[in-house]
Amino acid sequence: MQKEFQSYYDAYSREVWAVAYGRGTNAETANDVLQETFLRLWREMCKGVEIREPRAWLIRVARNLAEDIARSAFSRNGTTEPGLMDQVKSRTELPEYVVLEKELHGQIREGMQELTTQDREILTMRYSMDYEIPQIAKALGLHASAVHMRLSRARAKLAECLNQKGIHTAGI
Amino acid sequence: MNELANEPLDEKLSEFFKSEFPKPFPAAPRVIMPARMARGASPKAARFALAACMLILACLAIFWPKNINNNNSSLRNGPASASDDKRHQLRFLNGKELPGNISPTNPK
Repeated sequence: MQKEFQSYYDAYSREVWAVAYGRGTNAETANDVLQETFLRLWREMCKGVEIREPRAWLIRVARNLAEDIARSAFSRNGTTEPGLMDQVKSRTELPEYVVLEKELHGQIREGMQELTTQDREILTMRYSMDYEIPQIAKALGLHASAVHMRLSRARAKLAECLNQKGIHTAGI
Repeated sequence: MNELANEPLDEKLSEFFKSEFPKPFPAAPRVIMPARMARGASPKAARFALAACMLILACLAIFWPKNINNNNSSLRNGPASASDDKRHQLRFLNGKELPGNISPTNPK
């Protein structure tokens, strides 16, 4: 049974992480959601529950967990995710390129908040895992044309957000 | 499909998302097999055993011969009277057999 569990982890853990990251745009929270999702899978396996579609099950559980965490974080802080604090100035001087990169990443993260959760999931799979559109469609249970449309729309929206903040997508 | 790959926005997004992606990727949580499963008793086997027991009990309830008690009614109902009860008849006294049907309840 442990081998079966490990095979599920090897096959689906990155997708689960992407889904969790897509909800909160916070890598640490996504790691926590990843661990908790697979612990729940293990508990179900120990109970002898037969999970017919593990990928869909895992992604559903990860989405719910990430949603719960995001809601509780919002109710606690009354604000957006702590990842946005990356933009706060450090006391130590950083090399210029690191500062620029951090600023750009902060702007991208802020722009991501304007997108829907599903668009963020698609972007995460596309750019962090280099998934092609059919792979994303399969992982998220969507039609490839829908993924293509959402991806194009999300990119356009992000580009617009960055341009509004003075970051030109053709230049850097 | 890779019309997306050559644009500057894609490079920025790729850099951003790859910086967010954990390196190395976290290992699977350490899980411990429950003791009952480590002994080889899987939940399916336990359920199968329970179902088999229930089936056996149901079969016994249905097919148990009902006339056993009828043939041996004295066992079920007890003796009709005290004189019928073999336990109350005293046939031997101090190793000698008593004549007739002398019993403590009917000494004559």
